[in-house]
Amino acid sequence: MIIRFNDISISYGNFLALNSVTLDIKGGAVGLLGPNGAGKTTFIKTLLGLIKPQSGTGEVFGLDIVSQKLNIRQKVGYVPENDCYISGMSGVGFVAYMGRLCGMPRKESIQRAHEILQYVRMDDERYRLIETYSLGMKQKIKLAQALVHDPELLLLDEPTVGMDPKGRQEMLDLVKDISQLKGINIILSSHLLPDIEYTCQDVIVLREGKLLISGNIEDLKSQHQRMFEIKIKGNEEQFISELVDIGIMCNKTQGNLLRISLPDDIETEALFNIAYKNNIQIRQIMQTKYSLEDVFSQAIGGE
Amino acid sequence: MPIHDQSYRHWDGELKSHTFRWWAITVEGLKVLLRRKLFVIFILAPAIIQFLVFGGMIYGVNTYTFFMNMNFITPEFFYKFCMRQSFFIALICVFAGSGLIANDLRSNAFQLYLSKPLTRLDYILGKSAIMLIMLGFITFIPGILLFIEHSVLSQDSTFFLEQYWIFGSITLFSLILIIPTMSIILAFSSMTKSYRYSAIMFMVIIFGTPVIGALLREILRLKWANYIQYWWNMENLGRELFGISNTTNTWYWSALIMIIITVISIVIIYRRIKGVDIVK
Repeated sequence: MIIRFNDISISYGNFLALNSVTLDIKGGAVGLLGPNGAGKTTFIKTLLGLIKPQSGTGEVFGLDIVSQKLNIRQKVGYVPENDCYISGMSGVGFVAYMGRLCGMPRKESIQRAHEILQYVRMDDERYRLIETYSLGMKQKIKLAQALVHDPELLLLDEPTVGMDPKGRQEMLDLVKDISQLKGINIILSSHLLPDIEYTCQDVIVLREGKLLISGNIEDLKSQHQRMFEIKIKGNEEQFISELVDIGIMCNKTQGNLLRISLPDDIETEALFNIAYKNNIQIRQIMQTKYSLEDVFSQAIGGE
Repeated sequence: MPIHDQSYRHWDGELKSHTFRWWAITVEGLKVLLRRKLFVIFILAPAIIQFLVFGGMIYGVNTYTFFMNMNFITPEFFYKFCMRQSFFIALICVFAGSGLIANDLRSNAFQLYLSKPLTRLDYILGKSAIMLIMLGFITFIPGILLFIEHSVLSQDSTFFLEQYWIFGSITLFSLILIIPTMSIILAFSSMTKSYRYSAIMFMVIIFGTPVIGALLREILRLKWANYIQYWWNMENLGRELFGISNTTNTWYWSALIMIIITVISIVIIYRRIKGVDIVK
């Protein structure tokens, strides 16, 4: 296990940011999901040893999050969400400086900075002042500074926010490469579910400081094999209401489709029976895959 | 097979111990400052020229018989040198110190610093050392060099044997000039994202208090009004240290005022750095 949280609670005054969170993360690529105020930021702060829990214990790589926080930060790279840099420095100077702050010798930090900037595909831009960088370049330089000391765990907070589609794909490919081919564990906090689905194997869903779901994405998706998208003609509200009454989960999607998840004890025939009873025509029915969005929606909605 | 692997490679070097990690902040800060040509030409260079002028005077007194009889290399000579350098201390604080923390606040750099294996104390030490080195470079080091120059060039060892305590006075007075002043500018710098505002606040204290003090003294005839003036307190302590004090002024009140200013400034810096949200 790279991370072990045991009954951790953190509050800011009366607001409970993390509520008795107990979880183990074995490693690999883990997505961190949750609506605003769910506790994602507090979770990251706690991992970095920046917040002391009011109760419970936690370990990162077997190191205590309270007493050994500096040792933890030595093994962790952090990509902050918002724009942050050190003014008056070139890209390569900045990354090398971040390496030296982690304890790297001067010469090696410069050499390593060039290597990492090459890896994140920053060529001549590396010699320019960071203030002049575009948003995409700033995201890449933040990734580079987090990687310079070769961390064992990379914490990424919304790494693709504000990027154009090409830049976003480049960033996701880098993150995927780092986790899958270079053996660095990652925790990716994002509001963009496709980003997490693309890069991560596991997911953690938080809401109001509570841990709702934690597990392998494919396993979570496969728990709900019977998923359908249907198109109907008739009283839609009535149809949805009757489905929900007998325990069928139903959401409207784009394109006037209804997304339906059938529990194991209800047969497909039930859909047709309800439609027939309410004089509703089923124009289209199509079996579909259970997505991460469905897992997330169910977790959030089910609470 | 590529000649040079450009993909990610693991680094197997050894990280240095944590003890002197703040030194990286100091070195980088000094490099950034010294890259500013205007700062070097218009602030550092004149401070060094002033040192050379004082050095030339010592050389003249010890070399040319015409000057030898003047005998103006007294403790007051070293005191005056330190006090004259205090003008450059203020300028360096305004142009170099005002942005030291403010710029990091503006660019959210705390998130980067404090996600590395650094403590708040490391950060404050690193930033303070930038100012300490820069200000020591124009007060303590040239002051000591002047003392050594005169000791070496003197025909006999009388000066050194009788006035050896000036060495300690220069050291202590340099620290008195540097530490409260740099604490004030760093405190102001930590209170705002704009280096301009921190520079203005600093100038109000440094250049405004003499005006207020003088007005109170002249108009209301308040005896204690002198203690309001920042530089007057410095002069008061300096005169005491170099043995040229005016007996009507009590040095310990000035010392107390400087200690209070320094402590308040340090508390502000420490609280401000703590108060910054590291992860948004």
